[in-house]
Amino acid sequence: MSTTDWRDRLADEMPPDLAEEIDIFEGQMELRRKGKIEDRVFAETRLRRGVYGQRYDNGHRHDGVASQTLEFPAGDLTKGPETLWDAPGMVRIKLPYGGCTPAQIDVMAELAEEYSDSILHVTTRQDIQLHYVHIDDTPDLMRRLAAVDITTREACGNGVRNLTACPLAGVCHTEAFDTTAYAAALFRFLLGHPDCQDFGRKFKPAFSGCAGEACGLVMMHDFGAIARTSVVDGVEKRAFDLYVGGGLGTTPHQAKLLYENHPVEELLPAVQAIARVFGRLGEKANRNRARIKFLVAKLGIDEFRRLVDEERKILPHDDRWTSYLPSVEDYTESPVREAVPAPAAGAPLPEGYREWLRTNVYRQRQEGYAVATVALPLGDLSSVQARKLANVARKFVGDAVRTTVEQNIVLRWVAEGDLPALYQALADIDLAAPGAGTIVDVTSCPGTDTCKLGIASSRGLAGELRTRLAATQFELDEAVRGLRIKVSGCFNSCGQHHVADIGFFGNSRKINGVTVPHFQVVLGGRWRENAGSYGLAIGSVPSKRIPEVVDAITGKFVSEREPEENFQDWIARLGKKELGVLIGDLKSVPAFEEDPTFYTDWGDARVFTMGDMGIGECAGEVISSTDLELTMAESIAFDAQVALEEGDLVRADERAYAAMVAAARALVRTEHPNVADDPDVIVGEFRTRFYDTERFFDRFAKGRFARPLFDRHAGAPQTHEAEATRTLVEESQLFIDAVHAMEIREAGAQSALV
Amino acid sequence: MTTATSTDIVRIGAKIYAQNPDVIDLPAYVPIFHGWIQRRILDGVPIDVADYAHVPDGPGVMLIGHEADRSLDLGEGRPGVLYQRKRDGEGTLEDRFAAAIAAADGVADELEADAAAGGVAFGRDEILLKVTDRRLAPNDDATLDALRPVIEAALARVRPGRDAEIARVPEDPDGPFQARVTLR
Repeated sequence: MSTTDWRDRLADEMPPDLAEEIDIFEGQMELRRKGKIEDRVFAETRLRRGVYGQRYDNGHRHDGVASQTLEFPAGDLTKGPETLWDAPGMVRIKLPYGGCTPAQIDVMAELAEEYSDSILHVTTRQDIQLHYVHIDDTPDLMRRLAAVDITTREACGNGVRNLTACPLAGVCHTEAFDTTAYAAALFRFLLGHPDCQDFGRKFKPAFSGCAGEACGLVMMHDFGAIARTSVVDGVEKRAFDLYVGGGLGTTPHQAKLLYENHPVEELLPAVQAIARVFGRLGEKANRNRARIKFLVAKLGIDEFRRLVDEERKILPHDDRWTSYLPSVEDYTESPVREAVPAPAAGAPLPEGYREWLRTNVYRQRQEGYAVATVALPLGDLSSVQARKLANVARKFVGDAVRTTVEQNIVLRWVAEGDLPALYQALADIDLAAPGAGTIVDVTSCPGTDTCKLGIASSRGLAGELRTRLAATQFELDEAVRGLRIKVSGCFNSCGQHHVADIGFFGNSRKINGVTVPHFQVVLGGRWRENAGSYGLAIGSVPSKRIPEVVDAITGKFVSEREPEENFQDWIARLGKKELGVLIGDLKSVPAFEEDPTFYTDWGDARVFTMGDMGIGECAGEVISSTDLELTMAESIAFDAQVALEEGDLVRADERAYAAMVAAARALVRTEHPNVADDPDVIVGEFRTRFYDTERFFDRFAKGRFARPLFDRHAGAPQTHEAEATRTLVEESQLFIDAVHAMEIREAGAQSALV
Repeated sequence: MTTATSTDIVRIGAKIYAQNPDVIDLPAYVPIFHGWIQRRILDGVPIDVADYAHVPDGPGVMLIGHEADRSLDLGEGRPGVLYQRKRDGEGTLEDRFAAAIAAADGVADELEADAAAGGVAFGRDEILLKVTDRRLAPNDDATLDALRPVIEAALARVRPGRDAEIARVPEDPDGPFQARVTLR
């Protein structure tokens, strides 16, 4: 038994620069304990080391009856504004392009076991997250990661986040070339780069090997590169199409093409120039407008390109731009097993193998090899499973392991003849579930389980849908099995609901004076073509009715679709109006006495409004005029969506504005019942009473949701652009949601969901 | 055992197993644990309930706390209650092992008395002890040799008058140090 600490024990195994950074962070922790570093500064320091806050870290938690204070031993000591030192947090582990070796998985399993809750959670950006970690444990946690060449640096905070890429890179049939080595080079180049330290918000890069598949989801990223080749003078040349300014969040933007056919030699300097422009001109004061997508939208892609071009001209030369290139074309993964043919027809196979083979195995372009997907429920695997999976990987694929944005893990370079044995090895550790990439494989962000921003239980809903769909997956129509469901706990879109066939994001509604968890239904997003288009919200439904929504939509799709018609085309043909009717009956909430389950969230036993629910409220049949007016505002917003879908941009713009005015009027009338029905008066009263006083302000979004109302009220656009109109339509719904949220706050609903 | 080790080892876990695992309805443990937080029946600072019932042989349903986690654990494919201390250990190492076992007993007592738990019963004659701290307690025979007298002394307090067989758990050799205690 040893008492040598991790710092000394791993001194020779950690890269010196990483070791020093961790020592510095540990020193900063000590200074913060002594009050010698300001709270906000330490918060950003901590975030840039991948150490995140978690739900209830302000020291308060609603237990279903009342809000309780968490009496931590360290008392009022904080690690950021309203973030108590002792409150457990989340550590995000960056895995560039999802790559991880068995040795690294072993270490992450150890860390999960010793510092977390024995669960490794794969995120929608190919990271691994550990939850419930105490900040005091983070320096040793980082050292143990550093010893296997993993960093948490800039996994959070306003920097360059994890770099995502297609998990099939290098083995895919449709890619132009393997982007892995380029992605790795860019990751190393940007990590801690001085030009990336002054962003107003985060910056997420992604790589794709081709344009047609989902791959790296380039179109929803701040920066993305899509591989392409061209033949010049008889020689094949590699290049990238570079995109910038995509993003999801509250107002999703599709990335814009910055450079077409950009030489690989210019990849790193181009991103450096982009970073400089973003750092210099990006919004800093208002974090809700600070992503690069807003800068690109504000300047226009042509002006943005001009600025990047100018910046590129004055960049001081850096050898790293091209020093990695000579080894790039030689980069390859080596299989650990010789290619042997798949089992002959009629050979005995393990039970369940065929279904797993059908959904979880992708034949590589290299003959005799395949990629096997390990489907993880909700992206979770236990530390014991992780260790055993690492051993399975060692035996069958060596280091060829990657996480995926669908919260799974892929084993690459499996000899096809080994597939039955691999299946059996995975089945032995309960990791051989079929259905990867199908409707069963529901993706979800952490939501209210651990996220401070979560409004509704995305994991609870995802788990419920997965359980229900798994039970019937082999009976589902083939057209339905191929659909994707993605769930976010709030409008921030970490569950990537915008690019799902069927997406949901959490919100809440006050029904008869009581807060009820809801999910907004978002249909028809396009996963393929690198997240080629986003779905539109069609209405908010109580959480407990979402499974019925899935049944209604998939049932109608199966029964009414045209032969060969895909889901996106079917959604477009039906139109928002008919889809709205489809879910219309599912919006109702029964009285508490009739069905109290509607007043709790999935997977959470707390009836979160019990403390406020007098019998009269629960049984109440009186619907406030505010609720009625907000319902009307939602109806107008729905009209706006229908107009948008029909291509009537003028009407969509007018309806979106009218919806916001109606919602603002509903709020104003709670204090000024006789307010004139004049938008100038309504907006003025709203601003005076609710915006200037910050009563409308969300704790995190502040007044961001009111800006579209003010901006649109200042004047209608001269011309109606599709993307700007679409943004306004979506913002009108978010404004209505924000009015609901404020009403709930002001009503004092004792809700952990607010 | 060195003095330093005695005072440093904190991450001690104790698990006792369900005798009738068939009656366990995992979703029922979510409201049970929320109820414990509401009623403030636990020592320390309980924080939240984490539901990992979807992870096979995983941590099950957990009541996450500041000092310790309590769970209806599914590890090894054998449901049981696990008390896992994480920080702020008090007393000697013997005190800490005894406290962990007593805390697991306490969780079991509460569940056995709770009708919502469906009549689950936990055996007290088999205990899985864990030390989830590879720095201070590597998973090897030397650790068992060093800890055996401490564990025996702790057992004398929480299971007085019983003979104990203590052996390392051979499964999961790369896992944390684990010892299985069988009492006669």
